[in-house]
Amino acid sequence: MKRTLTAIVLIGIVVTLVGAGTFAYFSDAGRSYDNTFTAGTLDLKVSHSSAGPWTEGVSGTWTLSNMKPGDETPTASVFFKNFGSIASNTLEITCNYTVTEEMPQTESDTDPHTDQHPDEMAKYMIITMMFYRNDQLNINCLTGYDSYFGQTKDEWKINDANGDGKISLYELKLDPLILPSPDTQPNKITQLDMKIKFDESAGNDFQGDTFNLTMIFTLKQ
Amino acid sequence: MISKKILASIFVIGILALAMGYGTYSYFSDIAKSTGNTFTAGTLDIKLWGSSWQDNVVGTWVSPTNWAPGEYVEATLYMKNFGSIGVTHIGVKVDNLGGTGLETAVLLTKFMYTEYWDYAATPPGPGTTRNEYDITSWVISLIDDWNIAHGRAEDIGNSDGKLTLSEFIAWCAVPHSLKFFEGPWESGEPYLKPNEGNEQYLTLGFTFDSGAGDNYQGKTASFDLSVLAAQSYSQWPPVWWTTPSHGY
Repeated sequence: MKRTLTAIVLIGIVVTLVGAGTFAYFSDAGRSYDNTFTAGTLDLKVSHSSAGPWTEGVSGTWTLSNMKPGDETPTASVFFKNFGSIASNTLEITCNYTVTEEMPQTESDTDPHTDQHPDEMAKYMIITMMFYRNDQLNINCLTGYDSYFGQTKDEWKINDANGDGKISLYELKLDPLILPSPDTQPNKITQLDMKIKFDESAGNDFQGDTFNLTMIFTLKQ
Repeated sequence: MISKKILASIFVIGILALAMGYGTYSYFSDIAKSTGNTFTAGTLDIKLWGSSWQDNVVGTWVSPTNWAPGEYVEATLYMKNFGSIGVTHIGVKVDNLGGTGLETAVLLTKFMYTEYWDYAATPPGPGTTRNEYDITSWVISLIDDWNIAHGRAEDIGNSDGKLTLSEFIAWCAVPHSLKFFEGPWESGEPYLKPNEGNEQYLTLGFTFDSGAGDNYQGKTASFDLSVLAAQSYSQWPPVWWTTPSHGY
């Protein structure tokens, strides 16, 4: 049996060698050079005007000084444009904040440590108006309703976590908005319009305190 | 034993699949921010005159020693706003009763305040260009008539035409506070302008009830009077700044 197997293997090798000699072909090698994979980019820039200048960040969009309960900012806008090479899918909007206590402390500031729990002040910073819009979008971010297409989505609105009928910056931080891409067509410019009010029910805990707000816009593929 | 190996294999495959999944589904993103959005709250900081502007002054109303029935004592509180926002509403609250029982024989017989008076006297004092408003009758009837017979929720005053210190304190404890100015006035200016703006004053007078009997001899009463200030009606009742005053 072993002899038979050995014979078969030898025959195979010989046939292969003979074949190789017999069936030689011309050959040549062609190569595909310079195959490159260049990743596209998302490059969100913002501005205080649809005409630019466009930068990675803007400053001082919404401010109030000597604020008292009931005071409200005028409507202010941030404009978005994707300068990257690929289209985005969504724009997430959320915020973060800190509180700075006045120095020296005001006698009437009944909480000199609001800086250690800024959420308490954020609960009184009420978003009274918030629209995300371009020529094909008009989303009210307090209701999630897009009046352009007549549809509503939960992810387009900020959840009223405490059910008081008001939307605060604290609630925006808890529930970021997931909005449609701001660049659904080339060179599209989309804007966010927003007003913020220091709620009438804010107490003396916040006298003299400064609320520092950062709005964060994340463009996602 | 075999089943353990199978389970371990499934676990490893799962982990690998998960890892591959992360790799597969990562997406590009980019962030832009709006920073420097600052909201600075103003302050209300009422100070009262007592040799200097202070948060608390002591001994504004002090009766003479051996105060007798029918005798009268008054004192004036001078007010300024050292905060950064204007005061549009102002009032008082009386509480923290002490002493040995004279409060039922001490009558509020004068309540007067200034409005639209704007000068910066240093040291402060009654000027010649002031508009004083005497609301004594209104204050007395408001609290003395504050009882169920007059349709109020609480039975506080006895409607005898006199407002005792004890009635005032009982009324404030419910809680109430006496809001005697509601602004802003016609020009839109606040009652107390911010940043040490104008000065206003408040005069209260107390009389030892002439009908008080011998059982009040040697008795005393003390109280705190707090000046309350707010920047709008919606903020009422505000936190108050006290001016403890002792005597009687």
